[in-house]
Order: sequence, then structure tokens, then C-alpha cells
Amino acid sequence: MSGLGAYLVLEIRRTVRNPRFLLFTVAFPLGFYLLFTMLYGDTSMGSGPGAIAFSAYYMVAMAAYGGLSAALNSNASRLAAERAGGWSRQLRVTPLAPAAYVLGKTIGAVGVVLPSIVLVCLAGAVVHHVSGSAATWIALVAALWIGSIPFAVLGVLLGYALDTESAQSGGMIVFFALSILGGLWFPYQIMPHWMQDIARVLPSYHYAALGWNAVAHQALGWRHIAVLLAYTAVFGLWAARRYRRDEAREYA
Amino acid sequence: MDEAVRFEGVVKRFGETVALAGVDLTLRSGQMVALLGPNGAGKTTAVSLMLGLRQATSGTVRVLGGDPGAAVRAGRVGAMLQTGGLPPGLRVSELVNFVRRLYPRPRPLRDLLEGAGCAPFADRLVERLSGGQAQRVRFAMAMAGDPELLFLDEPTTGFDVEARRRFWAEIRAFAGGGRTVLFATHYLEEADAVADRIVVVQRGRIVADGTGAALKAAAGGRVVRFEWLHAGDAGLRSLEGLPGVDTVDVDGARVRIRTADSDATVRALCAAGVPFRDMEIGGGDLESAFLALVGEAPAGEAVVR
Repeated sequence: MSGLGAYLVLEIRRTVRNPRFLLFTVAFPLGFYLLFTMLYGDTSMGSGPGAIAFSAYYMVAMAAYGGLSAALNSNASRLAAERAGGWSRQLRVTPLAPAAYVLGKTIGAVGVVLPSIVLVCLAGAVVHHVSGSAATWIALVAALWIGSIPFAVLGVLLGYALDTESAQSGGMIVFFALSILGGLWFPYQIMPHWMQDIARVLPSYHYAALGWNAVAHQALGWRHIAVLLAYTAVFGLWAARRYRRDEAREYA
Repeated sequence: MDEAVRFEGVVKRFGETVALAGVDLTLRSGQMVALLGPNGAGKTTAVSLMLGLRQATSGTVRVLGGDPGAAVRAGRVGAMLQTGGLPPGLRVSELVNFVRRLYPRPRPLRDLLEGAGCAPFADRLVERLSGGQAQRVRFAMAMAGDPELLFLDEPTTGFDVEARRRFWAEIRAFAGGGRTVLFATHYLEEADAVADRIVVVQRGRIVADGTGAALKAAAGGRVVRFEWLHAGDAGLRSLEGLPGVDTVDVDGARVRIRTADSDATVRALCAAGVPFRDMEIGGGDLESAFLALVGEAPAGEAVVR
């Protein structure tokens, strides 16, 4: 596809230069992880074979939080602003394929997820001596990285479905709702039942659950994978619809 | 010579509003053409159709012998749009280089930065640029693919007179030379100074088409100005009957005669013993030519069908 590679490089470069991005997706998860593990000490989460230390549990939660933040926030408001501000129109008078623009944004968002995941995992290993085999770490990072795809697609959807102002606030609302209700800030286990019911329908819970299973040396869980795939399909189809509507719109 | 752009009976409607009301236009390769008209005349709509950003309601639009979108995708066209927002977080050189990489036959980066006057701020982030600098970056992006056909939609909007003059000199030097350039403007002197050909649009129609000199001539030769020593004299009316005279405007003691033959008119003024003072004879300026042309367009008819 014409220009995809060049566009991908451009997107990633812009994202990592954005101070807001670095603060929200790299500094916050890392800071929260160090703060909360210091406050709560080393309690055990759960019981039986799936039980893991809080430092490992929260490492996964904060890596997932960083992954969610990077995947979702790098696109929603920026895409809406570019549609309004004329940059997407400027690109339309170049040979760049319109689909390369959307695909570049999606892949770019997934690409910038990796640093926050790796940093929080490194903090877990170095500061709290969370240990595991190489295979465990690889499974964990890979699960959280690939598992961020539905959120990158959701970011594109929001960027097409909302205008500039509502994309900024709407993106934040969706982001905090997924983070908090999905059990990334406060452990799922201490939630009241009604909140656990909510968490179980959210993709963010299933996303983190992949990581919790990985550090507990368990199978990732087909149910979680299936839920994330279903969300990816729904967001993707919905985004494709908004994208096609936007394409049909004439560029003033 | 090859055709760069061809419009045949192009109509573009937005709901009830008619932006283009049947335009026929052919641009030959290598020309520098101004699309001149007041705001809302249909200039930007015409450019949007040539770039494939919009579709004509009826009629045919051909660019470089084919579909406008195909010419854009093939990288044969460059465009500087009126509102081309620049994406924050990039340096000027990075942005221009990115746009270069989208084209099959890009110009060298250094060439683009220097030619468009971006070299002094090539390392600056695009969100820190002044309006004029951002405009130069847009110009560099438009030239990135070394296009056969270049569109500039009001490229000097927001420039002061001196900056405008300088920018045009750069555009001519960098983009001229065999390339077809179409620019939209509502500055008459800009069109007159820069273009080989001026296409005047008004209410979605072409009301005049030719060189600046031809337009001036078409709109009525020369202007004779003088002061009438006995203002209010009944003899003023008789001026309209003098040889060559098209129109007579009187403002207090100042008289302004538009004439097709200034020599004959002045001879007749002397022969008639008209008491004049401070006489000046000048070419009709493009502005009055333009106003005469634009005034001719039938009001209302073109706007709503």
C-alpha cells in the first residue's frame, strides 16, 4: 500500500515526541506501580494455583493500563483534530492511499504500546523481584502487546465518530471507564460483585487477565482471547463504517 | 500543446446553492494561470474538482488527460490548499521529507527547503511556525513530487504586500519554467503581475479570460481625468457625446472619462473649449477592468437555478 511505511514512521515519531503522551502512558503507569506497591506491601492476590503476589498482580495491571492508554489515546483526539484541521485533506492531494492513513494510525498506536509495558515489567523485575522464566516474560509482554489491538482500533473509531472537542473528552471518559471499571487501578478481587459483573463485560479486564494468567504460569485463557477478538471485530466494523462515511463525505 | 486541465459544462451544486454554473475551461501545459474572483465566486470549488476532492454535479473534469483522482494518486499533481493544517510534533524538514517519500519522482529535500524558503527554519517544529513560514512549508510540500501541474489556492493569504511580492518571486523562480501553475486569488495586482492568463470567475461562471492587458483593453481602453473649472455647468452632459467616450463619472469638480480612443477624446475636449485643469491620461487599471467585468455578471441568475 502506497506510503504506509513512511506514514507509520511519521506517526510513531509524532507520538513519542508528545509530552502528554509520555506523561500519561509511560510516567503514570510506572509511577502508580511504584507508589501502590510501596503502600500495599506484598500481599497475595487470590488463592490456590492462580495466586500471585500483589507486586506481580499490580505490575500486570499497570502495564495493561499503560498499554491501554498508549493504544487508545494516541489516536482518538488526534484523528478527529486532523479531520477538522485540514491535514487529512492535505494528505488527500498526495499519492498516499486513504486506507494507508488509517492503517498507519492503527499500527502506529500498537507500536507505541510496547515501551510502557516493558518499563513497568522492568520495574517489577528490578524493584520487586517479580521472577519468571524467559518464556513467562515473553508470553506476558506479547500478550499485553498484541492484546492492545482492540484499543488501537477503538481509538480510530472514536477519532472518526467524534468531532475534535468531544473526541478529547470522550476519549478520556472511555479511557478512565475502561481503566477503573476493568480492574486496572483497583484490584478486581476487592471490587464489589456488581462491579466485577461490569468488569467481566469490558475488554480491559480481559486484556489484563491475559497478563495475570501469564505471570501465574497458567494458560492465557481462550475466553479472554475470544472476548478481545469479538471487541476487535465490533470496533473494527464500526470504525470501517465511520471511515467509509467520512470517505464519501466531500472534502471541502 | 498538451492540455493540463479541461472542464466541460461543469456544474457543481451544494443543495440549493450553485457554486459552479456551467464552466468550460481548458488550461494548456506550461501556462501560469490566475483564477481571479471575489470570495465565494467558485474558485476553491473549481480547484477542489481539479484535485478530485469533490465530484462535479454534472459535466466533465479531466486533469492531465484523465480522472483528477488518478492524476493525484500518480503523483503528477501538487497542491497548496487554503487550510492545510500541519501536524504538530514534526520538524519542518521531517514533514517535507515525509511528503517527498509519497511521490515516485521526488525533488531532493535540500532543493525543496531552499527553493521554498524553508531552509532557515528547517529544524523548527511545525507548531512553532509563523503564518508566513507555514505557508512556505505548504509550498514545499506542494512541490515535493516535482509535479507537472501545481495548484495554489490563495497562496499569499495573510501576507503583507512586501512579503507577498517576495513570495511570488520565489514561486515564479521555483515553480515556473514549463510547469503548469493554476492559482486562485482575489488580489488583482497579483494576477496581473504573475499570470500569463487570467480567468475571471464571478457567481460560478467565467466572465472573462485572457491576458491582463487584454482584460484591461476589453474593459474599455484608457481613462482621462481632469478638473472641470466651472463645476455644475450644463455642458458636462455633452461630454458623453464626444468621440471614443464610453462612460463619464463626475465627483464634485473631478471628471473621469473612460474612452476607447483617448487621443480623439482629448482633441474634442480642446476643440469644444472645455475649461479643464490638471489633465491626466492613463491606462485603465485592472481593478476597474475587473469591476466592470464582475459588474456585468447577471445577478441572481447564476446563484439559484
